Amino acid sequence: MFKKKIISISSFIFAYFTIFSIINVVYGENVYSDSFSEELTMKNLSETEILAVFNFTQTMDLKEDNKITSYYQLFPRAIGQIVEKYHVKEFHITFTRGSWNSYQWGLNTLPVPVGVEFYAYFDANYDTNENWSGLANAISGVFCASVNYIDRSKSAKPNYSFKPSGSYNEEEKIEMRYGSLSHEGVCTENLTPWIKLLPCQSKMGIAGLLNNYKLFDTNYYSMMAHLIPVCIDSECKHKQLQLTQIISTVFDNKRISKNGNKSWSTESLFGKKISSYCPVSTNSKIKIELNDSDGENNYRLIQSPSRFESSTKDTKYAVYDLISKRYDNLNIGVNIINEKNIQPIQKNIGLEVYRSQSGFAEEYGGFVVTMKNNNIDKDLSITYFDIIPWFVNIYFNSFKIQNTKVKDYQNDQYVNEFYYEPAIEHVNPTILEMKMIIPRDSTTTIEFDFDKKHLLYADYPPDCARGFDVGSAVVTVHNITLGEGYLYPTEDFIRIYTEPIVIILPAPDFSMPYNVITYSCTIIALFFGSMYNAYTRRYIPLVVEKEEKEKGKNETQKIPPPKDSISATEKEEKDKDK
Amino acid sequence: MKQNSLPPLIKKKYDTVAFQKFLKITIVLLLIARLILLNITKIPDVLGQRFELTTPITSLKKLKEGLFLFQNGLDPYEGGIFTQAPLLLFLYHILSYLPKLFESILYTACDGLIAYYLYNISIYRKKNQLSLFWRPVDILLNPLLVSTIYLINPFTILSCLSKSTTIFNNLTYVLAIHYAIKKNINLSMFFAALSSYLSLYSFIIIGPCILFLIETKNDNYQKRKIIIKSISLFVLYAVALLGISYLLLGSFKFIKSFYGVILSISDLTPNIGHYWYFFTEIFEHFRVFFLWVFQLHILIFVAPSVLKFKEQPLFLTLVITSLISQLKTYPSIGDIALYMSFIPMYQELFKYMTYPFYTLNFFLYSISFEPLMYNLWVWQGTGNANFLFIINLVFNIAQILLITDTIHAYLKREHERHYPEFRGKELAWK
Repeated sequence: MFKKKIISISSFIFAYFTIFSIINVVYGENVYSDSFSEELTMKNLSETEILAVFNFTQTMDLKEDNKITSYYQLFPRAIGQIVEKYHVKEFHITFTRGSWNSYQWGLNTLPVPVGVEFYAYFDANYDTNENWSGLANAISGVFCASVNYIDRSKSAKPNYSFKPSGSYNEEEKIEMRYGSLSHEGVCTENLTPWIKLLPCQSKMGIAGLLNNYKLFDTNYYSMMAHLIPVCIDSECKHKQLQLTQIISTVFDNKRISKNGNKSWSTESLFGKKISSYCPVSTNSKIKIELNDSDGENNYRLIQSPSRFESSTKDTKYAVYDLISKRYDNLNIGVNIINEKNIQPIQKNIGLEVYRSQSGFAEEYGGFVVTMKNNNIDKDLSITYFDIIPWFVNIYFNSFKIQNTKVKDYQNDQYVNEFYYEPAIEHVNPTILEMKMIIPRDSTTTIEFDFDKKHLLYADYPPDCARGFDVGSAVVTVHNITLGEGYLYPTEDFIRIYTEPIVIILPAPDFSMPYNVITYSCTIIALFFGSMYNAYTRRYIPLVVEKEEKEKGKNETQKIPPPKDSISATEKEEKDKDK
Repeated sequence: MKQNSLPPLIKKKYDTVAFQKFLKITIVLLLIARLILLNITKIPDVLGQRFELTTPITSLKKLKEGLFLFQNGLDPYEGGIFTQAPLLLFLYHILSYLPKLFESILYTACDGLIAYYLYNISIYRKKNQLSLFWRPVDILLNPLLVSTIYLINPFTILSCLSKSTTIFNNLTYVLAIHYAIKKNINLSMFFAALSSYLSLYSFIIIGPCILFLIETKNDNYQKRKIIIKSISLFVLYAVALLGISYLLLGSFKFIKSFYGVILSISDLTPNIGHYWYFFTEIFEHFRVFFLWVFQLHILIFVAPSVLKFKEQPLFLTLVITSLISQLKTYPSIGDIALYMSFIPMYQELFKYMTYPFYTLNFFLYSISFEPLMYNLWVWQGTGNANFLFIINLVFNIAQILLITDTIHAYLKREHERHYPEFRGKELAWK
């Protein structure tokens, strides 16, 4: 009887939802559709180095009031809930191991600093500081990384360097926070949760190629997740969230290939063949960029592609559409015929940026930033942004900005904006932002001095002899036209990151805090004891008996010995008694 | 006491006309040397970064940074680098419009003025020596020699060349005592307030200053009147100085940045004291307790010192100056130079000291090891912070020995002054 009732209720509920969803589908008003697309682009950076870029994009429609629905189809709930809770408008996080060798590989189209870079935009109607720390902690949990170490004392609010990548209405007020951790090591424990955000995970599709053992045996590995809001209609009334997950990695074929063979394929690089496409994806393809110059064929494709594409004159792609299922369980790759002709396309904006440390002891030092514009015909408009942690005291009056070409460089014409915020211990770092123009074929140098701080015992990390990290400086080059291969090709700027710096601070000895406390207290006690002794002491003449007799009684009467003292004569008597 | 029962006054031959002339020439040469070294050489830049000579609250380098921020319309106290008095900012704001020579002249003039007022104080001391009450005297003081010793003292020279702002504190300190001796309540209390404003702990000198002021008064009512008047004047001037600073900066943030750092020892840059290392190593939950202990430690000596040496306020000044320089949280060589300049005024005490040679060697030994140990730690990396800490402790012990030995010598001499018939006899103590 009771069982029957449950069955009847459950069948009723089932029927209700089935009908409801059918109605929804038919009338199509409140249906939210998530989408997923996957793509892998591979190309030779040099004779032996191969760049593989995985790009997974998921979208999710927002409600009319730009809020997240509670109805998730493909979009990861872990991200959606965080976004909702901390009023996040957009966030960008990158994990990087190794550094991009821009002299050989050309410009990095996905520029990232070493370690972790993390920045986000929040709804300005709420407390951004609180949301920022909340988001950092949550993201830290999602990606199993130490992002939660980016607290207020390590983060900043850039004014000119960063623009939101998403699209916003005019009435939307957003606020940004930026932080980076150059010390963060990136490894498989970050990749596994990252893959979990994909709808097919690594079971099917291009993500099936993500092989931990192979991916971390590379010269450069960068993994990122970008979440932005995108307009669907032209008036931007309806929006969707777009989560782009990218892995960009450079394989060293010289090391990987067994017999010195320069040819490469998915199997040689990832140790796997293509399984199938991810069934929920709307777009699933592998692209191989062929840099055939002068119409010669330097490559021989192992599998014939679905089609060839070419975006510009120089670049030509062989596109393998996985949705056609033609390439299941096959090996996609190239055999190199003419290896001498393979040269990377040196796309470069002609700007070199270095940041180095001056000084040689643990007392004081300085930073020297050199920015060299190699363009002969183009002045570059850039923004230099630097977060220097509070454990160095920057001297603002030591700032020197010079240019090799322009003598009077430090004026409004060249240095348009100069933002400086001094550090406060444990509260915020030194923030430096300069908007300037670097004239063609010249070098601009920024120099400033600092003192190294002496910190509290507890402020030193366990490995303080390694030094303290200063994250990469960000140089944003404005008014640039981007092309294929960039994350958001419509943007008009590109970033260049400097190398991070390690500063060695003078450290106290950690082995004997108790000894220090006791020694110091001993000195205090010694001081007190000596002073107490001096203040309470009374001097009395040492009168020997004989002299006393000679001089008579008058003098002894003059100086009556203190009542409670034992006079010298009494002492002698006592000695005699003994 | 009958005058004829006293031993005769012994005059050493060192205040001959020729010697006085020699001293005058030496003083002029020393001042010229300072001016030249300050203005022409790079020595001030090097010395200005030495931890022995400059502390976070007296460093000119940090003052210039604060001035730069101030002149560019930023809050100088925001960054935490600049932790000094706002009036110094004002002084340097004026100086920044003048050529560099004026800065050198200012420092030389300050040292010259300190020497001059020490000369005046020494004249008071000499009068004291000659007065019937204070006889017998073994050595009659030569005031010019006191000034010369101050100017020739390597500690003073180094401190002046480092352009440490301690010199302004020292000048106001000496001025406060000078005007107290001149019985000028107003100026004495003004300079005492200014000195306390520049370096918090100097407020203790209102003790000796009041003793100087009431020295000749016998009437208790008058004494009380002077005490109340001087304390209220001190408070008035102190409040006025803070008020001027407030008007200058538009906020009271400097109180937290300047006096807050002195009291809470939040800047842990090494100096010749030992508090910086103690508070680097101390566990966070003990910090507040020890802060209170150490800050009160300096105060508990004030009342006993005043009571013990109330008969001779100048000696009290010496004791209290040495107390301040040893127990202040950010001591430097300049503070030590100040109390060392008072010691030559008591030349007759030297023969009563138990181990003057030993103490002198102790001093030289420990001070010469300071830069060496710092170098080993910070520059070479072959030693660690404990080396510097231990040599600081030794230096502290040397200072303790010096001051306690001086006090003991003073007590022995006091005994002989009271009982002249026992001069030269052995003493026992209780």
